[in-house]
Amino acid sequence: MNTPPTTQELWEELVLEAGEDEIEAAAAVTVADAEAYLTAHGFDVAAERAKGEAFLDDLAGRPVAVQASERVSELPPERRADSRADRRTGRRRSLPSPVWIAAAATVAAGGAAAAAYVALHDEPVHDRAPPVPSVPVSVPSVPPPVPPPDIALAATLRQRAAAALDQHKPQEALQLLDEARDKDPEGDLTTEGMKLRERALNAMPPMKR
Amino acid sequence: MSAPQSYLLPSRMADPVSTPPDDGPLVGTDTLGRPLTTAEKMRFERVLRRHDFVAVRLIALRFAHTKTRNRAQAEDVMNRVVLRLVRQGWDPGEVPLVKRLCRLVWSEWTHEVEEQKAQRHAEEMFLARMAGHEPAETMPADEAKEREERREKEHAHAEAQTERLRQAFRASDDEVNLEYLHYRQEGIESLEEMARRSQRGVEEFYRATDRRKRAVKRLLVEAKGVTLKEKP
Repeated sequence: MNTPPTTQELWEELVLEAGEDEIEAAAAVTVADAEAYLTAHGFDVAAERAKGEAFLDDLAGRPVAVQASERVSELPPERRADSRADRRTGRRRSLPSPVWIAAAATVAAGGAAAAAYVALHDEPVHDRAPPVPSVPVSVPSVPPPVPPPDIALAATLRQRAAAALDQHKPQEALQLLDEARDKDPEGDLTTEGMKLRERALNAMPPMKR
Repeated sequence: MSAPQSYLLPSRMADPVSTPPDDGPLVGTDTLGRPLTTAEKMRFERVLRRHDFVAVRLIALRFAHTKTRNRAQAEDVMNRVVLRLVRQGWDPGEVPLVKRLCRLVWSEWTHEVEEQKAQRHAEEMFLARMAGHEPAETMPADEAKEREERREKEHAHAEAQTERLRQAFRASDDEVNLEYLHYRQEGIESLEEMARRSQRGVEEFYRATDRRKRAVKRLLVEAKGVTLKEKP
């Protein structure tokens, strides 16, 4: 018998267990598919990569001026070539930190990303340009335009989900329902949408332990 | 400088076999009770980079968007996920980075709005102070107090949700799941052991897993202001 979990640990465990199937499915997506999805939903994938790079650079406290060259020298040959190609084609794989902080600040309503940026600095702020405020500042966020729902395609996806359920393929049905929800979020909350989702959840096989 | 072996692998192939020996657990600031030192930050960065954090983050961002169905909210979830990664750390030997980030996305998304606000505020305060206290030995008293208050609030929330879950099981006469909660609170993890103690067939506990997942999901969805339609 192990150490009994605290109530909080137990609740977190139950929450994770409830999301296990979705987490597994999400984690099984390839980078290429994730990029395609993000592009289709209006994300700037290069900018997203730059945010990730900038976070790592900030974490390491690496001065901006040496970041790119240093990183390239750490990469294996094939990735070095990749990186050089990125620079030639102007793909923004590694933008300097201020770009990340500016982008992050526009989406973090509470300024959490700005706080992270400030928190992870151990270099003097004046090493980087432009200067960054030493206190997290909430930048009013401008909501990005939401693409219009593709109701017809969503309806087709829901029909396919129903067919998948009839064929005892609940996992496939859930994926189709998720795709339909992406196209038409409101449709997911209709009685029919909810029933389909509930039917698919009920049909999922028990977890193997 | 020669590249670490795992850097040569595709993003999704980081596994315990190829994990370099220095990929021990990354201890988060919550456990340390202080900000990361410069050396710790550099190690954090090195390990995350080796596990292709930049690409893996895109997979997690996709998941966040499928849950929130909104770009700004998905970005917000990801910002909090990254903060939680620093706070709670990560053990590469236990779970791949992609799964760790997706779990954090799920966890952040399932938090109720008010809880998120409170937590985010506490995180902002903590991280803002982190910059000025590195390499501090201890956490400032007011920060420690704030963290304690957050923990108490989270504990109360967990108590309330677990009790709601218990009530749901009682309402549906789900004795097996009531027993499951009882045994888990005693520290028993094995379903076989639960079956032995309760003198039930283990398959009853396996079947109960599905009902339990649905019941928890229902609570989570209700907390977000949506009620799932029940089957008649």
